[in-house]
Amino acid sequence: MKIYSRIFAVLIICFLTFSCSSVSPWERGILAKPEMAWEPDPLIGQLQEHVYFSKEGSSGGYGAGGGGCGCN
Amino acid sequence: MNSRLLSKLILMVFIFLPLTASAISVGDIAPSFKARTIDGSTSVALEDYRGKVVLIDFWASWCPPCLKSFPKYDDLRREIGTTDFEIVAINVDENTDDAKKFLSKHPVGFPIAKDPKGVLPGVFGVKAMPTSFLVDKNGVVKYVHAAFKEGDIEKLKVEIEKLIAQ
Repeated sequence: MKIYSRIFAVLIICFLTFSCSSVSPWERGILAKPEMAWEPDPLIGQLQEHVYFSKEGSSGGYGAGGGGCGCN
Repeated sequence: MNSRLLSKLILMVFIFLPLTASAISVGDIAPSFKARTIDGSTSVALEDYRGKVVLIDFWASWCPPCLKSFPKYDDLRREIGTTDFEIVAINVDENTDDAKKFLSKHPVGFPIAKDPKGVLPGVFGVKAMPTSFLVDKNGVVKYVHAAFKEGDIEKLKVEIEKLIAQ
């Protein structure tokens, strides 16, 4: 019985110290700012992609889609 | 398994159940609300438009599709008229000044309410920005549309006209 109580206590502690939380679509004002983008300058981003493609012979996987508004 | 352990497990289930409100979908009664207008001078309530077809639009100044949708919604409102139809836009910017700046650049004729704490999008279960809920004359949600793309306005217009004709 003691072991179950301990497991239960550990789970409760894990739950209470859980630091991740979801951001609702209407709370993404800061995430939608240009400076929050993986690559704020699209021109530099394209250049880097081109260099990568030329050197590695592969493309894709440059980042995540969406600008933070939850609509893409 | 004894009863104490079982009760703890049941408690766990309730603790870990997602604490999110269920989203409003087609066929549901639109939750009634009253919110201050963006300038804070008056209030906007859904009840004020009972008997009209209402498009409730959740938007924010930082949302690029909202920038596209606003002039289209304003044109649509002008085209259909406000006898049987109204648009109620609910701004969810945490800083209302951002919304005011947006509106000074892109002025619209429809009423705009503010909800900087994001209570109403939670109640409606908004899953993307922008999201609009088309409510019929009896207050029932008839159409839910998330995001905004070119061509969406025609689809929306058809739905609005169908509801006005009812």
